[in-house]
Amino acid sequence: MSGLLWGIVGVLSGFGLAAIGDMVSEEVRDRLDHLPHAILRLAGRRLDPAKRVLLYEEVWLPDLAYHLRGDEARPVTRLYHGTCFALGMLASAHRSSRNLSSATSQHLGDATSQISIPVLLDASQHGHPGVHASVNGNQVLVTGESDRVTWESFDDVLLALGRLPAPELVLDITGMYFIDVYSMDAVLRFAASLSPPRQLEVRCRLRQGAHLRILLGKRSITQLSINALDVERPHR
Amino acid sequence: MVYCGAMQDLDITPKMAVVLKVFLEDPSQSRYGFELMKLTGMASGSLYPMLARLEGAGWLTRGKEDVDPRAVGRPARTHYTITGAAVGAARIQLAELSERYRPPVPGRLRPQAGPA
Repeated sequence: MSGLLWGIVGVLSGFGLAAIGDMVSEEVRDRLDHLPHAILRLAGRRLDPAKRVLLYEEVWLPDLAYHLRGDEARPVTRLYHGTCFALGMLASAHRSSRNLSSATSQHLGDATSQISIPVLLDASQHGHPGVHASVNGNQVLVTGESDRVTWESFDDVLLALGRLPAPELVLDITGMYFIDVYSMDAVLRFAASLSPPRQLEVRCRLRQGAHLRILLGKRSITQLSINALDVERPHR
Repeated sequence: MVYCGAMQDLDITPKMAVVLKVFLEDPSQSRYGFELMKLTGMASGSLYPMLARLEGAGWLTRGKEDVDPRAVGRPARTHYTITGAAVGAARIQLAELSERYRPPVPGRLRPQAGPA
C-alpha cells in the first residue's frame, strides 16, 4: 500500500517538476529574447541625443528586428546573432555618433551656403511648407510641416501657446505632416520653461511620441505629459 | 543655386574599400546594413560606423524600405545608395589603393639558365 502511495506521489511530483521546468524554460526564453534589444537600447543611450533618432531608431532598431525575424525558427541562432549585432553597436556607438556628427556638421556647413530654399522648393514642385495653428480654449492645434524653413513660425506657435492664460495647456501635433528634431526639442524646451503648476500635454502620433521620448532621454520634465495616439499621419 | 550634393574627401581604408566595392558593383542598387554585413563579412561594430561616416561625408544617401510595417511585423529598414559624385571618386580611390597594395613585379620571371 505504502509502495503504491509513493508511486502516485512520485508520478505527481514528476508532472509537477515537468510543468515547472516548462514554465522556467519559457520565462528564460522570453527574457533572453529581450537581451539583444536591451543591449541595443543601452547602445542607443550612448549616442549623441541629436543622432539617436537617425541612428538608433531609423537604422539599428529596424535592422535588429530584421535579424531576429530572419532567424525566427531557431531561438539559439536568433539569440546569438541578435546579441552579437547589439554588442557591436554598443562597442561602436560613440564612433557612429562622432562619424555622422562631425562629417554631417561640416558637410551641412559647406552645403548651407549653397542652398536656396525657395529655388529648391520650386524645383521639388511640392509647394512651400508652412505651419498652421488654431486655438481652441487651452488647446493649440498645429498642422503643416515644421522644418528649417518654418522654425520661426513653429516657435511663434509655442510662444502663443505660452501666452494662453490656462494652467493646463494642450499642444496637438497629430495633424502635422512633418516635424523635425529641432522643433521637437523646442517643444521640450518650451515645456521645461513653464512655471509650475502650469502643465503642457503634447498630443501626438505614436511615432512622434517615440521621437519625443528619445529626445527627452533621462531628463525629467514634470510640467510635460506626452499623450501618444494611434492616429494616421495626414496627407500632405 | 540649388544644392547638388557637396561631397567630402575621404581617406579610404582597406575595410572601407571592401564596402565601396559592393556599392560599385551596381551603383544604382540600394544596399541594407544586414546585406552588407553578409557580403563583406564585417561585424556590425565595424560596418555601421563606416556607413555613418560615408553618409555624413555625402558618399551615400539613405532611403526607407518600401514595406508596410504592420504587414511585415517589423519597422521599415534604412537602405543606402552610393551618390553619383561618389561613384567616380570611389573608383579613382580604389584604383589608387589597389596600386598601393600591388606587390612589386619581380625582376626576373624565370630562373636564369646556368651551366648544367
